[in-house]
Amino acid sequence: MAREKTPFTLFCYKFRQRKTALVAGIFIVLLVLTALFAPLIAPYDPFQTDYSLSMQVPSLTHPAGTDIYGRDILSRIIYGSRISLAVGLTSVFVGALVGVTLGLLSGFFGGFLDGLIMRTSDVLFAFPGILLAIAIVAILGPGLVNVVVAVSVFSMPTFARIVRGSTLTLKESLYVRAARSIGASRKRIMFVHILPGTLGGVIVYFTMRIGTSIITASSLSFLGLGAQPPTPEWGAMLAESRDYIGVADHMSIYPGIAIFLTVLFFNLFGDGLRAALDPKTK
Amino acid sequence: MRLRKLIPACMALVLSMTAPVYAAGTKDITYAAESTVKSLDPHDTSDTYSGAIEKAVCQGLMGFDKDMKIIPMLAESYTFNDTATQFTFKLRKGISFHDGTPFNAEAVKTNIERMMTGKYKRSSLMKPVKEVVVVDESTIQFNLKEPFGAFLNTIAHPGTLMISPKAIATYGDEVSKHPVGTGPYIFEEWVPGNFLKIKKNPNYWRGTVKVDTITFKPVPENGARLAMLRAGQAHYIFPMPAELLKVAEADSKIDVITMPSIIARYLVFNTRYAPLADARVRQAINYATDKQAIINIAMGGAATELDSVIPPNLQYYKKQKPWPFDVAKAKALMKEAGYEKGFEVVFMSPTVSNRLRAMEMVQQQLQQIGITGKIESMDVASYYKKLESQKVDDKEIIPFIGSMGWSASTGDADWGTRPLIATEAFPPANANYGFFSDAKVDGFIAAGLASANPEVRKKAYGDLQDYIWDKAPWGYLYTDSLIAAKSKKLKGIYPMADGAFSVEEAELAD
Repeated sequence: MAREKTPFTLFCYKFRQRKTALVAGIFIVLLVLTALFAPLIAPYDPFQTDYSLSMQVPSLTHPAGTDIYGRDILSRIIYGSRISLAVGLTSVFVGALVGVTLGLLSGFFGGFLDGLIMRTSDVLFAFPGILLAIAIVAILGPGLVNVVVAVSVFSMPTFARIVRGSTLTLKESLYVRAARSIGASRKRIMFVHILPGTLGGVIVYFTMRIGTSIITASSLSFLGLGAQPPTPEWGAMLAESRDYIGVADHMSIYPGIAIFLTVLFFNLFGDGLRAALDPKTK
Repeated sequence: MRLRKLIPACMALVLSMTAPVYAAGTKDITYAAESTVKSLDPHDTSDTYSGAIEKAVCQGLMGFDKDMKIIPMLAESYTFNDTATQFTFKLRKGISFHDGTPFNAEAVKTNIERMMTGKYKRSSLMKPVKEVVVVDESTIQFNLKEPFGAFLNTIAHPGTLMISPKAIATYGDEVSKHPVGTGPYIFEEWVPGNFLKIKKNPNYWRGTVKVDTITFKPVPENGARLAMLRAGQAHYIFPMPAELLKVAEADSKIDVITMPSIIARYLVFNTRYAPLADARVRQAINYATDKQAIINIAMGGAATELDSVIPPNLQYYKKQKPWPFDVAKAKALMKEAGYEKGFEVVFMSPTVSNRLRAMEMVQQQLQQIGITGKIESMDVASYYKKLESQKVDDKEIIPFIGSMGWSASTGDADWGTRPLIATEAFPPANANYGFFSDAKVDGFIAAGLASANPEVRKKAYGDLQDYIWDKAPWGYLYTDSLIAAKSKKLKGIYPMADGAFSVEEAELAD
């Protein structure tokens, strides 16, 4: 007897077929575990300085070497994963929450509200993402919290637009009409009938966006606008070490690899999700 | 490592495509600098780099030698009265500007009176001047409003270089793009943001100039500057990044030149914040900072410990006994002051990598005596804006320990102290950002200005330095060393202590 193909089993099947996405998924799980258990995994205190160990090349005692103040780079990268994940996830989550709500309202009610929300989004779209983030941080002042705000603001319009698009379609679908004809309230239609239908696109974009957010947050820290020293943020670590490229390459290579792999795997994971959720692929 | 060689090589390749092609047989030098030229009007320039290029084209009555000692340039000799209110200069004869206009007392008057209009960035240098009088063809006299003992230094400052009166008449304020002076080089071409070229003055009054042209190029990226030098695309680079010293020293075609600057680096304490108003706390901080470690790590070794309130290359400097690194003593002082448990501050620094590194180390070290807090870094302009925007009667007090640096480009003790620790220098008037105030200090500073007699001034500034050292208005850190690097073929270009440089004696071997 053939197993019944629910959308979920179909999704799992399709997702497993994409090996890269699977690898990415495993990496992300490991990354999350690393972040959660950083104090147990990290071999040293990431803030412990020892000037006599300044800029040691990687060795058995310090697998990724030490930075200019003699701090263990591996430990700092491990602790840094907490910051990057926290900033990436919260900023996208806040962006998604606000964006989805606005998109839903915009698509469902249309008219003036729709115009207002969409034109505001257009204004935000007109700025290149990083520039907008720099402008926001410049107004709010440097610091990680403000980076989260900045990245959320520029994630918002895309979420709003994705949700608005699917809301417009779903609003006219038969089952929504049917729900309306039996007298379901607008609230019920919006949240019970339309919202779940828009989530597929949101989830894919959410995953893809985490990578972008991490790199934006790191860029801001690299420019000195985000995490302040001695926070072991990856971008800030790169900023600290860039003067020493050619003399102590390991100080920039390892944080660089951390950013690179994290962003790459979040994007591959998102890509896998997109393919698996797309009804056109088999 | 292969990568180390690859990166500079790639940079050099890219740069070589933009390099100018010179005719064979001429001696052409390329100077790669971090900064861009902002103006060529000496009276309207506030940055050291533009000022240094102006000094190759224009000259002043007085100037500085390699060691920041004042030497006569266009003036032959000078006299002054006892009250430091009248200065008379005898001018050299037979010198002409590049456009043929003769240099004489009338030309000096035109220049000084142009500055006295108050329209230019360096007009403030002429603030003490009441009038300037032409005594005869080769004698000029300055009458001052009040005693100003540091006036010779003012006249030696690059802001008072002489421009040809004819050029001023022809170009007006556009003279900033067409400087005409009496110097060893004649201005040739300037494409702002791209390059600036000067050529040999064949009739230079002090002797033969040995190179044909010098081209100044802005190369802001540290690694690229060094790569250009290594690839032979530049003959001289400044500043040479201390972090890459190892790379430069390993190259047999390159010489590294290191010299102490007149830049004082220190921690400014907001004395309006109660704990930092206590001299014992400030002394504790001086004991608790490991200056040598900061120099080695944050500055790559390119600095020397600050051992007076002004750096050694300033006039009237008097060496003091350095504060040893002694955490136990620091803790005892904190206890005595009643801050055994410590307190919180904000560590503020501009986002300039070596200054931020130094501040990070200060933060790490002060934890040991219980002074903790976050580092707040921002770009240079916002940083100084924030410091300058404080007022003495503000309700809100920022409890900061800030990163400070000061280059006294008149080479005189007055400019190295008055703007930083005098009561009159509270922001916004000047740079006493920590609101340090001490009547005795103000007295010494006034005494130093009341005479132009070197002995009197030496005593005043000597007493000032002895008195203030233990008061610890600042956390004394270090004096930067200036590092330049040059091709071994090049001789005679050297950095000056104020961050400028001299190209007059440049020579290039084949």
